[in-house]
Amino acid sequence: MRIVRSLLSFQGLLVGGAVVIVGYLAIVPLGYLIHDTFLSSDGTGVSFGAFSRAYGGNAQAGDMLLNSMWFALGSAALALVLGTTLAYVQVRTDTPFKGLFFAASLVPLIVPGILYATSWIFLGDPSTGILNSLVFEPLFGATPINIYSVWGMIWVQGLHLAPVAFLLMVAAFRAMDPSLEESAAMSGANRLTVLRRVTVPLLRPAMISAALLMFVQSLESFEVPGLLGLQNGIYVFTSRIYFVLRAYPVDYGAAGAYAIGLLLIAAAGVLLSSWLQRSSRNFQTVTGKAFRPRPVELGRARPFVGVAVILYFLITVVLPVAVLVYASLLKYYAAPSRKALSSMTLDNYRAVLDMPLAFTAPKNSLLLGVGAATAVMVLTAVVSWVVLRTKAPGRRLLDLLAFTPIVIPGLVLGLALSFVYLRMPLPIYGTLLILLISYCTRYLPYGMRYSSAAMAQMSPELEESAHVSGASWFQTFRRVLLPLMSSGILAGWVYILVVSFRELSSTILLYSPGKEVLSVLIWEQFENGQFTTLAALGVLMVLLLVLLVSIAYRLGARFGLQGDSAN
Amino acid sequence: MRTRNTTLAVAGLLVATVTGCGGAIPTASNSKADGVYAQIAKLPKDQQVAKAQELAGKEGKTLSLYTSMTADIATPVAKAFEQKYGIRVSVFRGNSETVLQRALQEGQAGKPGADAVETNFLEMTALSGNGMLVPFNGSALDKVEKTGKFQDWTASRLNVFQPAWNTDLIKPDDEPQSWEDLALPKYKGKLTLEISDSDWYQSVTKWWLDHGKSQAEVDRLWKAIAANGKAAKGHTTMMQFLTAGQTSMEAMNYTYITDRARAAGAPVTHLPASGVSKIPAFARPNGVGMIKGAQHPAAAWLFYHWLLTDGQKELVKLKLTPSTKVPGDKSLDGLTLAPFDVKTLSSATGTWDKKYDALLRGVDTVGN
Amino acid sequence: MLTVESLKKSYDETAGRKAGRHDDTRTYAVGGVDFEVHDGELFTLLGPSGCGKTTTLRSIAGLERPTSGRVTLGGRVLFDAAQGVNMRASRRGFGMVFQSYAIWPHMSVFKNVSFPLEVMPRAKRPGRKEIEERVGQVLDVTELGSYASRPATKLSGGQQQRLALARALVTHPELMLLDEPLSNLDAKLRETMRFELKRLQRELHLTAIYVTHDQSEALVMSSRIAVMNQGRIEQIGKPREIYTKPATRFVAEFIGTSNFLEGTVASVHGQEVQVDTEHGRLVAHEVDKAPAVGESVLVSIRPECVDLSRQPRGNVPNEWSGKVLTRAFMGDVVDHIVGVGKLEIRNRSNPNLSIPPGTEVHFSIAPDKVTLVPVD
Repeated sequence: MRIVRSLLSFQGLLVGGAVVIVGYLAIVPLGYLIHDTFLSSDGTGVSFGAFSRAYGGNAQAGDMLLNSMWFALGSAALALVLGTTLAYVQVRTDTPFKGLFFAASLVPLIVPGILYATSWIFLGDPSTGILNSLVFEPLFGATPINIYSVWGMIWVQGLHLAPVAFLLMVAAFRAMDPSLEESAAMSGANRLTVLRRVTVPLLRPAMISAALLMFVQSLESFEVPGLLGLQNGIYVFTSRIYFVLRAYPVDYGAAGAYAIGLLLIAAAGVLLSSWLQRSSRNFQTVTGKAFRPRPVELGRARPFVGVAVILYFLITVVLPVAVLVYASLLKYYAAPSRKALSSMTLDNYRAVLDMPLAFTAPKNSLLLGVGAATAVMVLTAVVSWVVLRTKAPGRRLLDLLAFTPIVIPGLVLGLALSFVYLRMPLPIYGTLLILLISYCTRYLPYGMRYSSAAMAQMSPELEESAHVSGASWFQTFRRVLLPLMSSGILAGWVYILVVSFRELSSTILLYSPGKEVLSVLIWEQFENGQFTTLAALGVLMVLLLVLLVSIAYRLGARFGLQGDSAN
Repeated sequence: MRTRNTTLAVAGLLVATVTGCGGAIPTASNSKADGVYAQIAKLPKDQQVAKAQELAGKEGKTLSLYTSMTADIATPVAKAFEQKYGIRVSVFRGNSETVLQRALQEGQAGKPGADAVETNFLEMTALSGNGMLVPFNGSALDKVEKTGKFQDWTASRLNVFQPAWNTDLIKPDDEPQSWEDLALPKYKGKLTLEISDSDWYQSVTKWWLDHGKSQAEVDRLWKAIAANGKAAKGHTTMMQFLTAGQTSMEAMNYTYITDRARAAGAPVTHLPASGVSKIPAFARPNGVGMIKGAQHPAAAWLFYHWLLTDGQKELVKLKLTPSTKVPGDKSLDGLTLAPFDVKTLSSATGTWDKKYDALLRGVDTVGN
Repeated sequence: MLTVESLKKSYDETAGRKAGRHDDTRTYAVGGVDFEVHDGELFTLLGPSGCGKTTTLRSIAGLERPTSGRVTLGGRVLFDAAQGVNMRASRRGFGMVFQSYAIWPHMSVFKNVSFPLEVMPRAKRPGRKEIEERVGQVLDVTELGSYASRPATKLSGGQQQRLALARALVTHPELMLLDEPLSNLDAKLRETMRFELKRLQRELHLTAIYVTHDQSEALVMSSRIAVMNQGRIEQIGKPREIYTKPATRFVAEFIGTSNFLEGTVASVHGQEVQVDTEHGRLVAHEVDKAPAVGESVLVSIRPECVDLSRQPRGNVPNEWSGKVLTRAFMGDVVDHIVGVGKLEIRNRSNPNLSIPPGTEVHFSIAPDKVTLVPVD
């Protein structure tokens, strides 16, 4: 009886609703995937034939697995180290050029993967790359950079992912009681020891969470392995999936078998991370006290840190964006030369603004981005509460379930959604709603990581004290938890907003004429081979998103949220 | 309270905009479509167009087209059709495999969203094989060569397979004269192969076998070509790197992609300095078809008809290779056309895909 | 001996370069503070929240960089704005107890305490055995001996507080800094811990700076107290001095309860000062420095210095009469509010005195209990 009554309460409805939606979003594509993978060819029984087709024979499954793991681990490690260092420097020190962090944390996120990887090809090609031919060759007489290697892939992917780590870790640093570090300093520990023995162990839950996210994201990303890896035959899971899905008749079973392989690796990652976090249950570092962050003085190191910040900014932002801007001014791409420079023109920008979709696509992208970001963050805030704060049976499963969409290939997700909604008597297929559902599904795992990282660091006492003061569950959630999580939630919101502008793999199957979004436009330019127009579009998109995100942070700051903008 | 109201209002607005009308929202398949198709097909050929126009007017003068034409081609094509018949075209664009997936999904759910489809050979064959298409019997077929006519779809344009190279990096003396030349050691490290070009791989293999080479010779040639080259993804992407001089030569690209880059001023070509290529040019057809149970069958019929007649001139303007003879078409100049073997290609694609993939990865294939 | 000289701290970073210039318009959290802390002393910084006491403490700790001023310990310069010296917090060798305790949740009780020993410079670092011994000792002193292996987060509030103390003590620091260490404990525990802390400080002969906003805590524990207000020190003195001889109105008001009367000095004869107030004349004994005739002063009289009686005693100085307005019994003491015209005087007495409201009463104040506070 008590269960029934508590389910009927407002809290029950809200929490139950969120759990059901999240479960539903995750189960639809997962069910489709499992069905396709294990259904035997005669359509009646269970079969493992798909696995032997995917991994057996001359599929070089071992190499593929090694490449995938090496690439994903390397990228995650690079991104984590870069992102955490940057977050520390930004939040905890009196570093110069704090304004640059904002751009450095956003621009790589905004630039679509195709463009980011292409920029790096133009920069780091072993023979003609600008870095090799204009920097290393004349200065050192050698061309050491080869972007078409696992190291090159890790480099580009790591740089592209570092902002994710940065945003997650900034939230974690902001939420951490600085007196824990100060007391270590007072105990006589030097800065390095404080970092090693106090800061890093305390942030371990957040770091593990971020690392897991980036590891899995690298596993399932395709742009970098596709553009950089194939050149030298470096195959990963996603390039195999791509290969399988583009053949006809499509072997959905084999694609599913690869996706399930990814899922197993990711699940192992989730288990490993919760095992690593098992002792950190009590690490809640947000005590409800207002922290005035007291910046660590860098002292003599300040100029060096300043130089490092500038260098990082140059490498992750200026170089790729400069290549884009440069390309956007050309008729066709050519390495910088007098001839190329003299033929510069603004025609590409004119072409972009003349496109029939020049206004529809950004509008739709904006609607979807804001809608998906808001929906996912609200949902995951509630669900992370269920996972971390209740003893509800199956909460672990819920957590795992919310994580699964990350490994479902976009095309499979698109197929699953169109399969379901074509058979549903609701006006969803063919509208922007189906894209919204797709984005919410795809970015659910990311929202979950941001929300649960924010939730995990918050002491339950804060909630309890609100309950004691007579606040209802909803009031507590809205007035106490959400504001305290706001820094993490805003970071997640911005992340989803930005990445949903780039989502293509499911969009391309689900969009309808008149419902085009920016990523479709970008893809069309790419398919047209109009790299220069594409670059112009990319430049405009970067400008648009930087503007949007600045507005979001400004608004956040006005409503008393702790933003991540550097001011 | 105020915040909540605002939230609700915003949410309402969002839902309204997101679900708002426009675009092709598929509804249940049109049971009358077959009747319309039959009604047109029954008529004498000279009356079909007028009837289709009349019926298209009753349907609401709209057409939903799924195509894998790139946007810079699809847009002017749709516009020209609109101008001619006053029928509004909404275009869904995707890779050929996406077009296929989407049309199949919708067809299997009984809610076809497309009226007409225009995409690659393989995908058209698959649509046909799944019974998604309705045969066309209009007068427009008369101009199409026999090799371009299929059971329930017709070739609308051709993608021609030729090598392409950067003229700054490959001097006239080093131009390839045959497919076999690609195996020459002088192209070591200069060649790029597209990872999805198994149909090219199959066509060339078949050509060699038919022209006196033994299987062992063919295998040796392919091995040498693979050893000369690197894999890349996407024909247009490859062309970007070729125009930029990142790469020197592509084992195969579609001639229209090379021509368009050349027209933009890039130093690339698929024709030797002499202007005549002796390399067998395989021309793979792209086709048009009408969807069973479509919402606007008459409009689909009109588009089919138009694309094979007036539309062909539009394609020529866009530097594509039309499937019929059109005055002023220079896209095949200097090329030595070779027959494209549609039969074997459509039957055993899976095995060729796997063999080509294995070749690129440098692993030995099991069996043949 | 710790010396703090004209310490200033501003958070107004924008005007950072204007330090010491005439156009220095910044708002200061600490606006020029001077004091000395002697060895073996428990020196308290007392004041309301926002008075700058914690900022002062953190500046001494090295956690905050003061805008200007100088801090030295013995001969060592810890901070000197003029010379650009700012020793790192970790090199100052102080022990500190934070208000939030700042117990490391990822370490056991033992590890929390052994940490400061483990991070000592290699040359000074004790061996594993000695670390164990010293941690054991300090855990015994703080009565945590039996909890050594527990995770730190499994301790109660009082135990966490003692753990924070143990961690600060384990290196035998030259100076202990305590930032409101008892404010998070419940009333009863707080009382016990006061004496506990005082005992430890005496036994170990610790030099400590103690920050609190709780005046009774300060009075009980301190060797000397500096009362701070708005970034400045109002008065430094022993607890009794602070209580009986408040130097400013703020101190008189902040410490305990007081009756205040405004008056003018009528005459000065040696130590005897006559003050005219609106309600009558008062005689005061001023030992330190007598005010000048005609000067305005604030008269402060503690309630327990008001001698209340039903009958006039006559022949005692400063005897006034009035009517009991209210009576409040508070267990160990009883307060009577006596109305003298418009003036209300609070008396605090032993609870066996109890006079019902409305009764005519007489009261007197010994001249040496009449405190004259200069009016600024």
